Amino acid sequence: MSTERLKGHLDALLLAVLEPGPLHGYGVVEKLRSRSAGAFDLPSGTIYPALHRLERTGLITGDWSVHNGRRRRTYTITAAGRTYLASERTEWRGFAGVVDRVLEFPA
Amino acid sequence: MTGTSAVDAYLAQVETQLPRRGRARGEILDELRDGLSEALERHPGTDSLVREFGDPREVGAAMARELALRVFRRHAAQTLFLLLLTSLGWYLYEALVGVSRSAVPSGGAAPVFLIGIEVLRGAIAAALVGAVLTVVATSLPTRRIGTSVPTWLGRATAAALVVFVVAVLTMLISIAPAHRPGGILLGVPVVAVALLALVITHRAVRNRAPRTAG
Repeated sequence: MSTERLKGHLDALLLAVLEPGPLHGYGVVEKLRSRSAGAFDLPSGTIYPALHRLERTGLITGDWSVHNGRRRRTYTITAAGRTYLASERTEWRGFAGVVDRVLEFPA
Repeated sequence: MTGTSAVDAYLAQVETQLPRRGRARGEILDELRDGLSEALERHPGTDSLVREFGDPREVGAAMARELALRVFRRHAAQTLFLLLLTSLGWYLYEALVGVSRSAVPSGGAAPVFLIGIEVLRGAIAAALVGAVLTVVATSLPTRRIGTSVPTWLGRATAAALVVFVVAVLTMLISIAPAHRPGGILLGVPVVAVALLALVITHRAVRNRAPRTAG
């Protein structure tokens, strides 16, 4: 799936990936791939700025730890992030339902 | 090329796009190093980090844009603090010392002084609103607010600060012939703080302006 098509939905997708529990940057990349069965195979480098954007807007928080001698930043969804995700889900379901009805309308 | 040198080579390209100094630069590189190293650990066959992570210069530029927005918000918060300090100082002066009628210059300078006061009040209120909105705009999800909105709000704040400084200077000039040192002594720190806020805002807008595309 093209990066362009995902652009408007990336924030919600990342929040959904972080919803079950905290993950570090590359963990988010891998989880996004596995949950989409490889369909969302974005360059990993595009995920990091998006995570920083979500952190700036208070939808996730980041904490440093040390893993295998390397500094690692792990992200956790916030209460505001869960609220935002819920509203994005509602909006997406409405939109997808309408698109589906139009596309599947019998000729 | 070994895994470590491949990671270092990738990060060297990212670094070229980041600000030269600051703790945030080191944190971005540490975080990417962890991700790049893990990519190599999980997928030892990964022959190209560029294929996995994307163009390092583009990644660096995207991180720099995000970092610039954070710095922009910090500068807006500093401006807001200075403006609140100025407003508080003004109201404290009015409450404790008061502005006597004799402070108003006579003759042709009187209307200039009185108009200056009204312009000054309006300008500082506009700058305060601009700074608050800039902080809010840089804290909202991008989808809900355009990426150029914070920059325009910063410019509007800077414009209001210019008007504020000009109004204070005009008032100082209008009372100068009457040799009122009290008024001049009050005006100098007000101008100094407003100029400092203006410099901070201008620097933030200048740093942010070329990067609004993100």
